[in-house]
Amino acid sequence: MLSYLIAILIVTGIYALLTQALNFHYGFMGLINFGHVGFFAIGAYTSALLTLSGHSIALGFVAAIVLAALSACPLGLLALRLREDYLAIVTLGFAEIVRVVIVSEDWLTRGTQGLANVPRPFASLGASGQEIAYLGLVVACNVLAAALIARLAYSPFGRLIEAIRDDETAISTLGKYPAGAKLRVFMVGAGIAGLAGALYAHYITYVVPDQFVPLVTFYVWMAMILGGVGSLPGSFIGAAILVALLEGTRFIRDLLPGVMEIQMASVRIFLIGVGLVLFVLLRPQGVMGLRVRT
Amino acid sequence: MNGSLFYLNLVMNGLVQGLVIGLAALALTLVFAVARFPNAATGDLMTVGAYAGIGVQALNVRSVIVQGAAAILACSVLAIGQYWFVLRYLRGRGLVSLLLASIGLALATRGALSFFVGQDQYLFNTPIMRPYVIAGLRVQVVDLWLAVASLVCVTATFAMLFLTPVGRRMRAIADNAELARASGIRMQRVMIPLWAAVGAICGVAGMILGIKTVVLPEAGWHILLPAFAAMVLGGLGNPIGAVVAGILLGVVQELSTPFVGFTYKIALSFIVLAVILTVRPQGLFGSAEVVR
Amino acid sequence: MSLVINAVSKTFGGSRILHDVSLSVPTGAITGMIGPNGAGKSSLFAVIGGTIEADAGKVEFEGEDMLGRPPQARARLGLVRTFQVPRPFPHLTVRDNLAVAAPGQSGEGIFNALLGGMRVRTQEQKIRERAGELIDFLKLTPVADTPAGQLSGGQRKLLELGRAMMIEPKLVLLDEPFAGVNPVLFGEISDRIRELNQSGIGFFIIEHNIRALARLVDALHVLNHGALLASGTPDEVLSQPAVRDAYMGGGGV
Repeated sequence: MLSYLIAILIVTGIYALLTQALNFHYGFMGLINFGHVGFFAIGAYTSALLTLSGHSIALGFVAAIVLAALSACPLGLLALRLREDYLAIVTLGFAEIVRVVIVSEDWLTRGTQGLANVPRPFASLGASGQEIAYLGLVVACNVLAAALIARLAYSPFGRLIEAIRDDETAISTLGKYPAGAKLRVFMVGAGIAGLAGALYAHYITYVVPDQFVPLVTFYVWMAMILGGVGSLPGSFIGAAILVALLEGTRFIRDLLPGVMEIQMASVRIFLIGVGLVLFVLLRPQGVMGLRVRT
Repeated sequence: MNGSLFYLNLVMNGLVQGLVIGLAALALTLVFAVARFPNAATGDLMTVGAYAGIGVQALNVRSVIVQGAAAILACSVLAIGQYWFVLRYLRGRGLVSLLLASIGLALATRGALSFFVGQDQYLFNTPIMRPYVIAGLRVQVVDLWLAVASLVCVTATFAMLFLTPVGRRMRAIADNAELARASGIRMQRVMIPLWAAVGAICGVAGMILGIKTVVLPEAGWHILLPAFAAMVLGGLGNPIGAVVAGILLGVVQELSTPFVGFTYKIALSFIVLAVILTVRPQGLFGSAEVVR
Repeated sequence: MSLVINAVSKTFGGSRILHDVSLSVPTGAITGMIGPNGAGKSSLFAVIGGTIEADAGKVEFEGEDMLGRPPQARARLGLVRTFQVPRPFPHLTVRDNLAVAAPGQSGEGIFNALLGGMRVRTQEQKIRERAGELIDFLKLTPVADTPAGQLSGGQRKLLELGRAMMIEPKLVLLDEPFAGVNPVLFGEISDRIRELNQSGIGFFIIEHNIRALARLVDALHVLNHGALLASGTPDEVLSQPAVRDAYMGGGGV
């Protein structure tokens, strides 16, 4: 039971990290990013590949952050000068391209087979000690990310990005260039998502392309809305509710006798879809409520 | 000689593929122009159409026309239902709310569908006919019929848009929603025909997709991304541009297969999109409207 | 030292908005421009501010050609505009609305923001002081820490004026500073503009309300159908029959 709880907490922590990153993009800066899972995948594969070829896990984590952030650069340069409608579509396409590249380049990623035996850190601590230590690592990453975002948010940089989000034309007439600040926000958030990917890869210990479908992006959007757009504590609450919902669907199976495992996947997708619709309908302030800077 | 024939045949295949993308992009563009959001439920709407056709076939009805009519009916009813029970309440809530709601509708549709039909693939039993061979170029009879069907569908859509009063109102709203409302256009009188048309287009597109490939719960979802790309390339809100861009993307995808392999086909539309947007931020057929 | 507009023309969607407009706006004075709705006043401001590019003609500021320079570059030279419908940053407080406009903030760099060294802190302190002074000067003290989205029309106009002041401008383009403002505040806004002008800042004001404007400006230009109709002191200009005709038609008095 305890190990189940720890596992749940680790997964929640990884989702919380993704949610924080998305919140930095959307809640603080208004960037409509629907390709979050792409950065997550880049982080996961980068760290998995490096550690499997003999490099240290620490290097894997750093490379995951850097590569995910760098991947946001060309995407941002292209998309940020376009209208906001384009960004949603272009980022969605970006994430799919990342997945297709992973599937196709099997000399590197072993295609749909995926990469197994990704090393887990803290092996010397024994089975349960390892789990607890890993939870500690996940918590530490979350705290670091939250501190980073909060520090940025309350700096002149944070003030600038919120002004850009509120009115790009007005800030331009005051002599500020929005594109550079937007790009930096995009890269920082992508880097945090990359870190979440590395944490995920080394926890699950294998990566396959099917883990990085657009559905993951939608989960993170749901968590952000549940917790409140623009709220960092909300990122944790939202991630917790999301994981509780996802786990809860396991128990629904007991209530539906005669439903096969493969049908449960359909039920889960259906419920998530209905849930998303209901949240948007019933909690408009959750979607629209951008941060008010005080 | 053989080389160029090979590519000509690829172009033929690409044209049919492109028709599916173009129709999906047309459905997306109608919604985008009038209701102002990228409708992520479009792909799954097409899937429903394909399964409706399969369902009719399972009742031993061989006529593709009847199957297609069932697809159109099913999709229109579903599209109007999505509008009436969900999207109607989100007017004016902004892009993100509507996009998220449409993603939710897409997932709910796919989940419900795959619960009942399972993950097995279905096929349309189209009669096997000998292809026409014109100077070595093989033209499948089915492809000709599908091309005629989509041409009828596109023509009907444009006739509605440009020749009927309801089409004129749709264009007025697309031009300036506030002005249109102020001048007394009743939203629901426009939106229900709009969603019926969107459903009908998706029904036809779903049937074509099903006949050309296999019917699977994810089939439509995989068309959504190229269709999004076609909509943006077409100038975001320009229906003619969307259809043309969709057909172009289909051809480019098919022509690239020998060079980049099958899996990159999906990604290709977005690479094309990225390249073109770098040069022309307003899309191929769009008017200049970039962030100032 | 001035803003020189030389033979500027602009056509938009087939209709001519600006036709061969030439005028000179000194940076030390208050210059006004009137004209009926649709005369092209806001378009002229957009051309001067750099949000739209003229089809023909030249805009020079302090002797430099403004062609191809984005609004940011013009703002950095000291040429800043406000909007007819004010555009405050609604989720930022009044104080932050002003502070964000301060030029050359090293804390806008991501690493400086994270490290938060001495330079960032002293600069931030200065910015906050200046913002505080402007808040007092504009009598926005009671709403200093209110999100700007909650301000009244007149307060928004004052806030935009203050935001423009933060960049230490040479010439401020004010787009209808009296529009949508409670008339009780007219005198207040005029007084602020006059005081700021005495400290050396120039103003170029377009306005629909002739009476409020005539009392304020040193020179007045009239724009009608995209072309300059008259220029001179307010008394000279307003006594011209052509101006009266244009205005009686527009019904703006």
